[in-house]
Amino acid sequence: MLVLSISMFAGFQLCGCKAEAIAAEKEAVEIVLWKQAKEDPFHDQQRVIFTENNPYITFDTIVREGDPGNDYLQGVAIGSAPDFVLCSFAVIDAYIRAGILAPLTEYWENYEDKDKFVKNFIDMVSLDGEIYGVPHRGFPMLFGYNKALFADAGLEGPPKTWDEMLEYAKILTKPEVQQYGYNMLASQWCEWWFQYYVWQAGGDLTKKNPDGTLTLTFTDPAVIEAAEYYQKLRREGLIQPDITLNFEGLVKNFAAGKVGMMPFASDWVSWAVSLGMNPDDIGLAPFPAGPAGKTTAAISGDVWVINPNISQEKKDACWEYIKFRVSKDYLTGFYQDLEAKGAVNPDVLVRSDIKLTEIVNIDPSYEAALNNAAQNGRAEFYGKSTVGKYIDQAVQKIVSDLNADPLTVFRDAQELATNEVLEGQ
Amino acid sequence: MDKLKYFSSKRTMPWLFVLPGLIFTLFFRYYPIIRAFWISLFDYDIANPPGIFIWFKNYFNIIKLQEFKNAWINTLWFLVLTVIITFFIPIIQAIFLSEIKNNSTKLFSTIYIIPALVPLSVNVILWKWIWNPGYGIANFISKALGFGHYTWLSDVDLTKFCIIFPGIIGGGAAVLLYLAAILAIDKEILEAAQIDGCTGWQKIFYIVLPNIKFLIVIQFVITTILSLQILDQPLQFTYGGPAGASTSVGLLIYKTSFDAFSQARFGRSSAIGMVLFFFIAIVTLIYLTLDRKSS
Repeated sequence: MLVLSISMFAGFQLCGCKAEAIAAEKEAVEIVLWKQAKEDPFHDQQRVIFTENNPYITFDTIVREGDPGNDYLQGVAIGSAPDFVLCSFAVIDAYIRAGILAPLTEYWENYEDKDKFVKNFIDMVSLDGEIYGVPHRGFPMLFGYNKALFADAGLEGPPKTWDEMLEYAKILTKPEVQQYGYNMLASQWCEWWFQYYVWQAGGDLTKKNPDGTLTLTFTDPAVIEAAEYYQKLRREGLIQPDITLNFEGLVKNFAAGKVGMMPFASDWVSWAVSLGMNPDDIGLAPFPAGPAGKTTAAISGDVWVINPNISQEKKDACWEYIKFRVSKDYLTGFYQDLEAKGAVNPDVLVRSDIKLTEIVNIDPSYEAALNNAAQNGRAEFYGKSTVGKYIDQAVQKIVSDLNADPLTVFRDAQELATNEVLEGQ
Repeated sequence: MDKLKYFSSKRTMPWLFVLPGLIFTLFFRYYPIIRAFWISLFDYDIANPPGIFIWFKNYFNIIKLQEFKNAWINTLWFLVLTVIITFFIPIIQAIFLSEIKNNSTKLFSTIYIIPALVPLSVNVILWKWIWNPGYGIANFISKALGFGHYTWLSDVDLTKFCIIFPGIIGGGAAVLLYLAAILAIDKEILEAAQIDGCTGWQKIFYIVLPNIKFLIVIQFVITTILSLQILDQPLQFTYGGPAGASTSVGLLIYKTSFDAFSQARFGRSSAIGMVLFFFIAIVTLIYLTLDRKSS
């Protein structure tokens, strides 16, 4: 009994001293983190716990409006970049090529959990054998629909094909109440959603050559088919009348119950709920199958990256926190906390040792959509950061001018991209 | 003691007073211009600034870009529309105000100033509602007048007009400047004109406008400069769309530099900025030279 008591006392003393011991070993370091204004309070609470366990690390947390990950590039340019930040997979390629991300391969090779991450996500943050980020969450692009509007219109379930989607959009479009069938992104980053329709039509916008160079396939018949489908949606008045509406405006209209259907990322569920949408009205499904019978869409997500221009001590501290954020316990706690708040985002988990359906309850229909995404999801088209804007302009052109011939427009876009960007690759 | 005398002398003291302003102007106005020119000579690398020195290659590259040419065409159209739609409104408003002979001048002056107090972003939100093809009042009025339904901002042919048209409300500081200039016209000239049988229109064209010509020229130069630099309105209304129809040179500079997917081409965007700078400088010089010659 005496021995046990002494052992327990010694154990408690050691636990209490462990944090102090770490602090005593390591020099105090402050790391700068940008976080979103609308960040979930769960992360703040967890940061306090992390700091208690790692007292030598303190945070200078800066709140940013909008997406801090998208602002990271500007931050580097003007010398005010954070030490590390969470950014979207969509910008990773551009950031790697700009040389503004620290390679993390050495950290990764010594990471005890490295084999518990889904390989696809690691590939998305790698280039030429180097790893430049740690995947945090995966957001598959799904097909969102408003269950309440569908029920009012007498429609059972989401459309299964492009033709069905067109018919459903006609039924859901009611200009007299400013309700329309489909949200189309036609003002910015148009290539983002357009690429899914190209894939569903059986083609792609570009091809990666064995030597890593790029071949443009803007005139692929699948591209033209997708473009004609876009024109059809607009010609029949089934999309928002204001095609200059930006991405945030489209999501707000969907949350306001003004739109029947739109591409919808899994992490927008909580966003739509915060905008006042009833979570029970958010339907998620695989995309309608295109002419090639495919329902392919992208899997995006966010990833932790570290600024290469900071000291080694700061990089080490950032790495410690990143490991904490992507740990099994953390991610499990995060999703359970979301469930307690009433809206779980049906994400694709980056870790293979956690299954979302085993830690929270999600809508069974979401599970079907997630499984489809896991099987059919892929990374965005190769070279998006290099030639994406030419596709963006081409899509805007064919949507704004319904008399424009898609083949001519995309052929011109390909020629322009080749002349302005690709020559000399 | 001699040093004190020197610094407090009448020749030195004025310079000490203007020195802070001068330093501020040099540092916040001229230094960025010089630095932008410097950056434009590089293939700017934000990871290892400034990157590779490429002389004027950025300038040669940008003139080959289709988006650069389109942006210039759009910007010149913005200038033309601004002059036609909005330039003369403050002059007309000031002339009306100058004709009010009772105490209502102050009331109407205040009414004309108020639109200028509304922030641009709020104006944009209001006008986006007006121009909305689905529920906007613009289509209601258009149909009532028998002109039919338009997509306004979503129409490549109308988007620039829709962005500039809100300026037709006029008002603002320009009205007050014109009014002050009109009221400063010697009353004896106006009385003499009245005695000679000068009508209202004749008074405006032969007396009022010539006497405020100096201000009109200055305002025209300022309007030209601001129109050529236009960025806020196309950014907030349409982000340069649809299909680049409202992308001005200013917006192109912004997108080339700061769009998350633009690869931060600061060398290129600085070159575009310098071209715009020199163009505006040349146009301003031409205006002022022509005005001096006509005077």
